[in-house]
Amino acid sequence: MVTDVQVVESLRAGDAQAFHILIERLQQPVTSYLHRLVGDREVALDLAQDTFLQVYKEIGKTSEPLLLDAWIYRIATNYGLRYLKRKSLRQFIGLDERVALDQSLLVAGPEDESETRILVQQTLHRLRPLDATVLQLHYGNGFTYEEIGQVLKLNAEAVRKRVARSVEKFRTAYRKISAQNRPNKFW
Amino acid sequence: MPDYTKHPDKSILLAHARHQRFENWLAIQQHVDVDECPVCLPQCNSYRDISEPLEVLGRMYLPYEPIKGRVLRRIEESEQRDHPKVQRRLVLPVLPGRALRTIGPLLAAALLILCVVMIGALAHLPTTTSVQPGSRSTFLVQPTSPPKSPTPKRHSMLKPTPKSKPVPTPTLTPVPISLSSPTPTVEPGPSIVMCSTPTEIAHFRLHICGHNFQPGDKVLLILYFSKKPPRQLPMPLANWQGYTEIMLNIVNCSQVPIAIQAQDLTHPSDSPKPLEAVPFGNCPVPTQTPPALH
Repeated sequence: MVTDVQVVESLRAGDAQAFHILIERLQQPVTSYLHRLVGDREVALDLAQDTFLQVYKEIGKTSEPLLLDAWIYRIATNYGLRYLKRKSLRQFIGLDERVALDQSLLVAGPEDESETRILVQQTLHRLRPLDATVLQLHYGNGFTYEEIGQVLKLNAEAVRKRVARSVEKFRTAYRKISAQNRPNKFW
Repeated sequence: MPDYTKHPDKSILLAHARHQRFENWLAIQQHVDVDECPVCLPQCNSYRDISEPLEVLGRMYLPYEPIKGRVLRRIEESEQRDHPKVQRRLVLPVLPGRALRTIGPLLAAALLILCVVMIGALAHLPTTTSVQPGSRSTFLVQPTSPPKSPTPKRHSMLKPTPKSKPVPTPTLTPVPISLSSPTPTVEPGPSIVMCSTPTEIAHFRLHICGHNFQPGDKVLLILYFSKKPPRQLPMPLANWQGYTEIMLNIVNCSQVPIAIQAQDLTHPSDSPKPLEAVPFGNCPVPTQTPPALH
């Protein structure tokens, strides 16, 4: 397993160069993950900044052993879920209107997949945030069950069951949305 | 005859379809893929089908503007908020109004004390000649301590400094011990060194570190022994800094290899020089060279 023990030690010791390299390495994947999670590019950029700010503040308070990437994604996930919770509350009490899905997702990959991409994002936004998070981490970031467990503070078995439940929910919702969008096609 | 009465849980079938490792995964593989269970195989296939649209998430890519600059700016602002005294000292020359607000209470206290002294002095006027000018000036011109240099508690990560490398400690950061030369030298190309710390040596742990590989490279170690056949040991993939390491527990000096060869399987031309005459604690340094390295 690739170890980041040395990097963590450098960060804890306040090595500026290590922090700069860390941001450069993770700014794109973390922002992309948050974008998929919250569905808003600008919000994702803000939350990614918050994440790295938190990393800077908290890295010195952590104790060994620390799986760096999983720990950073945990911070990002917490920010993402907190944002979604606030947003749904504001929508529930009518302070915010429901916004359409971010159109930049249309061009976020191979052209022939744009329709599927939008359908998948629409489906994920209908799921509960934690279900969507699990699927984003597993399918979007390629995290193993163990790694997701590190992010969500769950054991691998709990993650396995959570992923299975989330996939079932996704399957049901995706069928509905596909049927609405493509009435002549059965998925 | 396969037993179809016991079907694994759906979550296990999904994990199998997603190539995730779990307990007894070989038995599941046998049940699903080899025995082709009529219940579980279609279930696995349906999980593969539903996974297909979700796979697009992994192929989504949008370039985002770099946030490093903004993060560093926010850290700077945050540090100034967390260390207000430092901030005041820094902004004093450019923000006089704010500075006045800061020293306002001090000035008021000084004036109050001055008034009390003056009243006291006036009360004693018949007996004393006058208020000593020096005593007034004592309050007005308090000897102040020289301004301290703004030194935040935490080491700033905002600007990289050449001396910002952490001081290595023997327990946390192993000091590399070069095997070919007495002084540790990091070569520009890939290299391997024995980096056991004194504690690790005391516990008979052979710690081998690889530097300057290309990130993601797969490195295979071949350990040569004096009386035993060579042993192959795959190292973890080189990390984003081109670094990889492996720890090997040994029992006694006879298990210390006489030479260590590293093969970069991803970039075979980048394989580093083999290590010979491996010193390890008080163990005798081997002098023979394995025939394979001649």
